[in-house]
Amino acid sequence: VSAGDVDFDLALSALVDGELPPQQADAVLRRVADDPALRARYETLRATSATLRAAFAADAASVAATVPSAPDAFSPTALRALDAALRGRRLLRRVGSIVVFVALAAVVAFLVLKKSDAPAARSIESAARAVVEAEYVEIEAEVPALSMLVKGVELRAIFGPEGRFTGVASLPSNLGGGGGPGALLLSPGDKRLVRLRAGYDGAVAWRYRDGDAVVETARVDESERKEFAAVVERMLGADLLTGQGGPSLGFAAWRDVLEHAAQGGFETTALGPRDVEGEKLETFSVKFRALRQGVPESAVVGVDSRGDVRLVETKFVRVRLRRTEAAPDASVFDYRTYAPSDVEVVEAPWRDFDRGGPPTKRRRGE
Amino acid sequence: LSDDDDWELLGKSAKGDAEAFGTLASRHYRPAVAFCRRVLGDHHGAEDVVQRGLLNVYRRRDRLEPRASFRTFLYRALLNLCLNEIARRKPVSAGEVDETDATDDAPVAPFARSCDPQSAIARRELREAIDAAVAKLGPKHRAALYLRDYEELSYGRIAEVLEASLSEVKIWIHRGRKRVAAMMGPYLERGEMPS
Repeated sequence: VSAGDVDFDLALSALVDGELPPQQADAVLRRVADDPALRARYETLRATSATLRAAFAADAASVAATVPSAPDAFSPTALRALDAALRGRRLLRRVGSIVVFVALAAVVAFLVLKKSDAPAARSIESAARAVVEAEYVEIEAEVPALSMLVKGVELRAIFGPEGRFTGVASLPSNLGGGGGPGALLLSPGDKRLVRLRAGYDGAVAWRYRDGDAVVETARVDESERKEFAAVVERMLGADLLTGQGGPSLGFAAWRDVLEHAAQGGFETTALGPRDVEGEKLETFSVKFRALRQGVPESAVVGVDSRGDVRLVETKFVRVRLRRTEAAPDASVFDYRTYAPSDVEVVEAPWRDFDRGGPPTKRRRGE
Repeated sequence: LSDDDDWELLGKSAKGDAEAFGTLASRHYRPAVAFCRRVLGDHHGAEDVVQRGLLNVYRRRDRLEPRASFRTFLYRALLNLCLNEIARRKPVSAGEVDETDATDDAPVAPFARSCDPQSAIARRELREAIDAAVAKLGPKHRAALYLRDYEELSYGRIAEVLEASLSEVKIWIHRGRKRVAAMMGPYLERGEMPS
């Protein structure tokens, strides 16, 4: 059977169905009339179509005889019942959607709130831990020049139940024209300074690492803030600043000592043991060269068996610290609490501190 | 009754006239069952499909847009349900002609005649032979032949129902007839018709 035969067969079928355009139908009919074989094929198709039509009509008659015109499912009563059921189902679906939506919204809100709380709690904890566990912590004072670095272990000792004020200098809250209470912490085993400040939002600590300033803020909760503030208060109330084997002085005097040390040092003389308030102390006399108003001329300090140093007596007139009003280009001083020969002087412009960089250090006499 | 009447009845039903859809259903129910019975080859299955199809129309009655022919629209929906039902029931049987691979040259065995054609038994035999011949075709062949030879739909309308091209419809009808003719050869030669 050639492709042409197939095409012609299709045309014959279309002719049977009256689906050929008139011109093509005429052409096909002429060929059918001329060719007995084609006529036979055409007649077979017509007969088949008629047979099928008769069979399908018999089908329809059979259906008409056995099938109702429309089942009860399409009666008005059944359709109204279906409508009611559909409305109920739609209502249920809507209510279900609302319930699901509200539940999802609640879950999302819960997750969002939980997520927003969690990092804050973690940041407080991690920041506080970072401060306490740091090798060195710079604790901010009201006056940047008075900042100090302290070893983390010392900071832990200060906060702990057995904490001592060894190496801690107190800083009056009105010192330096700044807001809340501040404190200076001195690391006995290290020459660097520490800055510490209790703010409204917790402790602010700066620490130095390898010469680069790293600012860290330890935000603490209310109870921790109070504890921190209590520590600062204790430091503020301290009469003495202590050092390992060297003289100790009240904070205000200490500042002057340092200033004088920067200008040439000071002298200490061993006075021998003395009973002070029922405790035997090894006492030293500390003399100052400055005689201007507000600067103590001399003091007697005592060292107890633990190495802590107390101020025994001094000639204070009134303490006033010039550093608090220092100009931007003024020098700042870093120091140690040991013998005058151990005093280290650090000079740096204020702006260096403002930028958070470490002060330039130089030894006295360099 | 025109297609406009059908869509009007559906519109009334959408506005709450419960009688209108009953009228529409009764107008199309039996012809639709006959159509689906040919496509499915199963009477009860056909009734089930038609009821499901009409209920689907009823549920969507307020969202349906009037088209050229409600019957074409309904038969297309029913045909899809039939095809789904056929696919659900079983794969295409070995003897059934698939629309995609049937050719004019496929061998077809004619039915043997063993009875006197004048007798009732012979007429029943002829009906069974035609049913068997049609049943050997694929569902779309069957649908195309039914829509053409009984419903007398044009090729264009049939193409709409079957969602096929005009060429496909033309080929399906022609091949369907040729295969039925091949199987019904002895009966056709005698000019016998089912009663």
